[in-house]
Amino acid sequence: MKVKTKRLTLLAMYTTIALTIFVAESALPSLLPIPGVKLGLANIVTLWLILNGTWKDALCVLVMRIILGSIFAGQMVSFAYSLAGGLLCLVAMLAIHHLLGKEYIVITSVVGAIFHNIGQLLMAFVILQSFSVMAYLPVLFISGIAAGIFTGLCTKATHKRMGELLKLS
Amino acid sequence: MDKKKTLSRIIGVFIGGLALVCGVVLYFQMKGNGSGKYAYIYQDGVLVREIDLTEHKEAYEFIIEYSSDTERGFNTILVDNGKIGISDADCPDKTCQHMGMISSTHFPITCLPHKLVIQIVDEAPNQEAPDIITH
Repeated sequence: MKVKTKRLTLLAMYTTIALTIFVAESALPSLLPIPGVKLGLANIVTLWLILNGTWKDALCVLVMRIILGSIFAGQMVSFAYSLAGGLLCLVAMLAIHHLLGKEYIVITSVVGAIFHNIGQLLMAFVILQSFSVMAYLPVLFISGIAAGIFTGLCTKATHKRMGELLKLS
Repeated sequence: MDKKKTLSRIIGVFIGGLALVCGVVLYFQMKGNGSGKYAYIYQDGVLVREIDLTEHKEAYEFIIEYSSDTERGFNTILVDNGKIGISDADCPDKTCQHMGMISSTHFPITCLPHKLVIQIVDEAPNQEAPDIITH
């Protein structure tokens, strides 16, 4: 499999950016003491790659960021939750983006956030084998929707300014 | 393109509706005083402790340890006057600690790294509570 150097370098760069955002954000105190409530700023990179690259690029950076992020910022336990949430989120965002296009990136982001929470709660349900974690669902959805709007707007603003800089394909 | 616009509107309404439903559910979730006399503590999906919250007048603590193939840790559970919470833990994120003391059935306290779930219920132990699924 031949990978162009430029692509490889750019993917590494995006991974680093996403990782930095992820680690920095996890160092911040949480707004609500409920597991899973966060801004999800690292998703901006994922959204950016959906706009400016292929699904393979987005998937690659996402998985790398989750692996490295779990090593650097969290415990290996959070790896399962992040992976479940992240993958489900990516699939949902790719689907919505395919349907709506880059004009509606905010909606893509919100749907991604919702599915990220779904993925995390499903994983929590599997690992903890307790139905009571579903009690968190309403709070997570509301905070997820808000966070999704925010990250979507951030991505939109960035994309407007930096346009197709560093486009991957 | 018009087709995309209508689809985006549909999805947007869906999301708005979801947020609304969540808000309503949350309102009812927080509304009842959700009083509970017992706290069930689960680890790895297994009920490990049943606490009668009003049993003792003075506050008391106990430690639940966690050990698995990859890591070990502990959570210090504090029971005080009808409330229960995690007063100390060695998990990296400490979200469980920051949740504070709970005395209602609204939200459980969870320590994800240590697979711990503390849920307040109203039924006495040895009865099947509705929101527990065990395998």
